[in-house]
Amino acid sequence: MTLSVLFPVPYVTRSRTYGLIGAIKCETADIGCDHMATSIEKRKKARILRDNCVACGACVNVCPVNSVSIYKGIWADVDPEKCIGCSKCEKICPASAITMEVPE
Amino acid sequence: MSMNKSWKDKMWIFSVIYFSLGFFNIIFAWLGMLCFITPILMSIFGKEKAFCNSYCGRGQLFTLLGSGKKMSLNRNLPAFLKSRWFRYGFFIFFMIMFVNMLFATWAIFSGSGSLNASVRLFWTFDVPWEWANRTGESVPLWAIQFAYGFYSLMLTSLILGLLSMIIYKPRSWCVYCPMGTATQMICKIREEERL
Repeated sequence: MTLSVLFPVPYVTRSRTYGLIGAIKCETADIGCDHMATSIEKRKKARILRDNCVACGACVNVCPVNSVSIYKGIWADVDPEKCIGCSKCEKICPASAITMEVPE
Repeated sequence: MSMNKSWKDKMWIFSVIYFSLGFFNIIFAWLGMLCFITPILMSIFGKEKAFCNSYCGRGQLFTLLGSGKKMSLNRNLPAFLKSRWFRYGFFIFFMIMFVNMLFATWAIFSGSGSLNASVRLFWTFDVPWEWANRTGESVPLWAIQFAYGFYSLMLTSLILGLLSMIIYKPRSWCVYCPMGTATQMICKIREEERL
C-alpha cells in the first residue's frame, strides 16, 4: 500500500485518480471500499477461519459484491475472484472468524 | 432489488410485534415456538442455516440497531465467549432450562402446581406480569404457564442479545445463540453423513 501511494502509476491497474499526489481511490470506492488503490494481485482478501465461524451470515449480508456464501450451513466461504478486500465482513463478523490477508 | 428480497429484510418487525403482543397478552408467547421449530426443521430438511442467514428477525433487529442506528460499540467478543465449550455449554444450559420450564407446565397440567403469573428474567428474577393473563377460562392453565415460561426464555435471551449488541458487535448474540449452535450442529452431522 505504501508503495502504491509513492509510485501510484505502475501499481494501479483499474483505478480512478483524484488529484496529483497519491490520492488515488480504489475502483470499488462506489460500493464502499475506502482503500487506496493497489494492484489487484497485492490486494488483501477476506479469509475465513473455519473453526471460529458460526455461519450466522452477517458477512453475506454486508458483502457489496456477493462474494461470501455459507457452505452447507457450516462455515462462510469467500470467492477470492470476487472479493475486493473492502473488509466490511471482517468488521461485522461477531465471531472474529475473518482475517484480511494477501493471497499466496 | 426484487420483492422477494424486500420482505425477507423486514422480519425484524415480527420480533418487535412478538414482544409487544406478549406484553399485553401472554398467550401470544406461544408464537415464539416458531423461532424454535422453524430453524431446526429448515436445517433438517436441507435448507441449512437459511433461517439464521435470511429469516431470523432477532438477528436483523440487532443488525438494524447495532449497524444501522449505530448503537453498537463494535468491540470484539472476549475469547471465552467465542470458544466452543461456551457455545455448547450455553446450548446445554438453555435446553436444561427449557426442560425445567416444561416441568413447571407439567406440574400445572397434573394439578400439583399453581400458576406463577410472572416473567422470570435470567432464570432468577420474577417480574410481575399478571396483567398479560387475560384469556380467562378459555385457555387451560398449563398453556398459560407455558406461555409465561416461554416468554421468560425469549425475553431473557433478547436482553442478553441486546447487551451483547451494545457492548460487542451487533450480531454477537448469534455466536452463542442456542438455535444457531443447534442448526450448525445439525448441518455438520448431515455433512458428515453425506461424506
